[in-house]
Amino acid sequence: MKWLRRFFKHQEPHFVKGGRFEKLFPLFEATHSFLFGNSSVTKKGPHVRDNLDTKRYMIMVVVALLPCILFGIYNAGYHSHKAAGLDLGMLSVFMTGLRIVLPIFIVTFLVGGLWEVLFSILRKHEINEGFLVTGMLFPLTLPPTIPLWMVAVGITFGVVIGKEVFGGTGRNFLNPALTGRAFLFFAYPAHMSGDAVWASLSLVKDKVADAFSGATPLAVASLTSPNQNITDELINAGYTLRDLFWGLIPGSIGETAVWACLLGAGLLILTGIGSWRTMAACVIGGWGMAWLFNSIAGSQTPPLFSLGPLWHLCMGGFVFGTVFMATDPVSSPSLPESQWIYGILIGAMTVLIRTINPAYPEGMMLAILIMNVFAPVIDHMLLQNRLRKRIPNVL
Amino acid sequence: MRLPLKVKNTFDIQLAGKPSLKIRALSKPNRVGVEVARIPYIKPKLAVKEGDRVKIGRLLFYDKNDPQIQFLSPGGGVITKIVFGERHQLQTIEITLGENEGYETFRRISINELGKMPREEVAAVIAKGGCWAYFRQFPLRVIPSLNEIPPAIYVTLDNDEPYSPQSEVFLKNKIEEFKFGIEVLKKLANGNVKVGTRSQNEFAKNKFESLITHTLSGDYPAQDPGVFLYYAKTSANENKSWYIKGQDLLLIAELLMTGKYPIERVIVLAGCMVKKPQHFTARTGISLEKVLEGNSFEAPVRVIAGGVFTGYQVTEEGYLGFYETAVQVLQEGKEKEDFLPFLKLGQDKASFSRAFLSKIVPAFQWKMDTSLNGNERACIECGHCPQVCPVEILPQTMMKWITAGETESAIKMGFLDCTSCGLCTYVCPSKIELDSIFEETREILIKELHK
Repeated sequence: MKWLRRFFKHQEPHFVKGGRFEKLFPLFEATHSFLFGNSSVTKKGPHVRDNLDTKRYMIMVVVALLPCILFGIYNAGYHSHKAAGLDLGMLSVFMTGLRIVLPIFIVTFLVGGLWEVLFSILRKHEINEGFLVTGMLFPLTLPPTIPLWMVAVGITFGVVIGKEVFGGTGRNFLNPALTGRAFLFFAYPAHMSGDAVWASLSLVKDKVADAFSGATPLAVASLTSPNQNITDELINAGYTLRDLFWGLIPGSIGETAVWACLLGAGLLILTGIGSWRTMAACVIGGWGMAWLFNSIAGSQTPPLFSLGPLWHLCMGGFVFGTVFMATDPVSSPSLPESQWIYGILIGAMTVLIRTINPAYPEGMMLAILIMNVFAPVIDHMLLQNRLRKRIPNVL
Repeated sequence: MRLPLKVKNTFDIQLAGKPSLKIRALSKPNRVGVEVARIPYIKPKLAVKEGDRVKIGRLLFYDKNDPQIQFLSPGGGVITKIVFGERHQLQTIEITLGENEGYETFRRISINELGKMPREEVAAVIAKGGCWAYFRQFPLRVIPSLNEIPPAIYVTLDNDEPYSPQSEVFLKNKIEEFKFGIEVLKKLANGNVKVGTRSQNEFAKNKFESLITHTLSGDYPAQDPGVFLYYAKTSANENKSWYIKGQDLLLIAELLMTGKYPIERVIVLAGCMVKKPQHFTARTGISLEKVLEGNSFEAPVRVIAGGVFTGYQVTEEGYLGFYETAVQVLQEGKEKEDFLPFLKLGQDKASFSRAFLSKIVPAFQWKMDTSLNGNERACIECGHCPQVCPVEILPQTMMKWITAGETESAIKMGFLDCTSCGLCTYVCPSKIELDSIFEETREILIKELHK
């Protein structure tokens, strides 16, 4: 790697102040520190510093996402083959999945990255690593049939409106990936929901298997008629709790497999990168709300009232959102005690939206965005509470 | 009654190069110096000029704002150099030592006398003997005025910043001096003296028994006087208490007991680049060249006066400052550049976080260098800094308020309890200079108060 190092040493003068490409310094710095780390030293005390930096921080989230990404690719390919009646061999399914999912990732990173670079050049600051995670999360929340131009529009909205207009990384109050997804959901509902969007047939245009139904468990649940048992309906549609856990079901690319999200959650909690409080609170909130609905469910109430808590937690984006979206440190509250309130409200609101308003099956996304808005308020209130216990120290 | 205080949110960085408890006396140096610019928050006014002959204890300069705060010569001989910096600010006074240095004499006070003397007189003797500046006043850590009666004086025997002189070493033959010192403090604070030590410091607990009022448990910075105050105070009145460090109290006692300006202290030389990290007895104002004698460094190094958290970078030509009793030598920058560093498991990377494999390696001494280990980025609210704030403020929120010009709100939230231990800056993954931002804010506050 000596030649690479030497190459960068030679190029550096062009990018620093006064150089020909001085404006592109953020790009140079990002590449250089990506490859070699940062060699600068402390100017003031503390003279020694922790080894953790934002690169390591974000990479840990990406590593935690790997099971979801890999399984998401397989699942997209699986449903495409199943819908087309093709063979379901592991390798061929994965390759098809790759051909469906990879373009979505590439477009996200190209378009989103471009906005990042553009804004860091305009604002004259380094490129923040946060986009690495946003860029990984955003494609995972999309259906595999999403047109690529829509991916570009969505990530643009997420990065520019969700983050940069508020001042960039660290100043956004909404989760950028979810903001982009919410935009697509409301702007192009036909491409984001319904039964037809979950299996990509673009690669196998000629034949569609007759028996194929692409309805997600959430859709099945919301369409259950009042006199039917909702759990039976789900099982009849081919969705047992076990299926939901293993995730070989239609849904957004990365959200279907509960086990993959749990693996990611394990790593995030083990490394302390994701808040276990937020995750636990989401589960408690969701469980509690579902239990509450169960206890008032009767023959007069809509069937979703009687859906068990475990079903709610395993369906849709609940686990994925809990593990990867709700724990985004920038848009969630910073006090540990606020994280409990924040998480519980997310879980409760998700189940509430799903149950009361089946027109929006994906309650998780909306619940997190709503609570993102309230996060500063929760923090403010609990901070006042902390202050009451403090002996004041003023001049 | 000894109150145990459990300090929350502390951290031991397990830095390699811990000094042994062995002690060696450094031989008499050729010259000593006073780093005037390193004494914070005073306006120095010179009382000598180049070429003057001085004895040990001769007045060198005083604070223009409070002329009773005086600084004396740590050596006898000729003043060979007075260095001025920008805007004619007094930087350094250098004294070349003579064969026979001679002593200025001050009033001696016996323990019986002390009981009968009025408070003001004791204060005046300490000030005239050049030791008043060892007292500092919370919350901004200025040197207090002689006439003010403090709500309490806080003393900590130990210092757990890596690495500082251990109380077992500097108190060993100074038991009587320390007891005398506590009596002096009681006089100055009308009896309100709080003495804290490490909860495991059996030596101090045995020797001083009831004199020790509190024990402090926890890693760095549990032994910091500001942390001690935060956990011991019961009302807002105590916010303006004074503090003095254990070894500095010995100097005051020595001044009053012998009538001579004390010039000998125990210091440590530590850090991974030092051959034999250990304790020394050394003169105040000793040149760093003398302290580092016998060490040769091949790689570039950084010499720090004070601990690795709160100390400042010095050159070998300088002198050990008035308040500093430690010298650390660390490697400057990385030995060699990493390649794709974020992909490694990191079993060799020390961290407060659990994001490296190093977290499951049992107790280990880390060889650390002065690398920033990352690039400066925006705050991402990762929540690490509040986990290492012993006075339970939210450093990231303070930083945001201060940079937004809302210092008043920051103060309301407890900013003045900050003891500038530097742990928040150490753990920050975005490499934000929290500590420097806080320090600048305190400087602005002090300037506003002096107007």
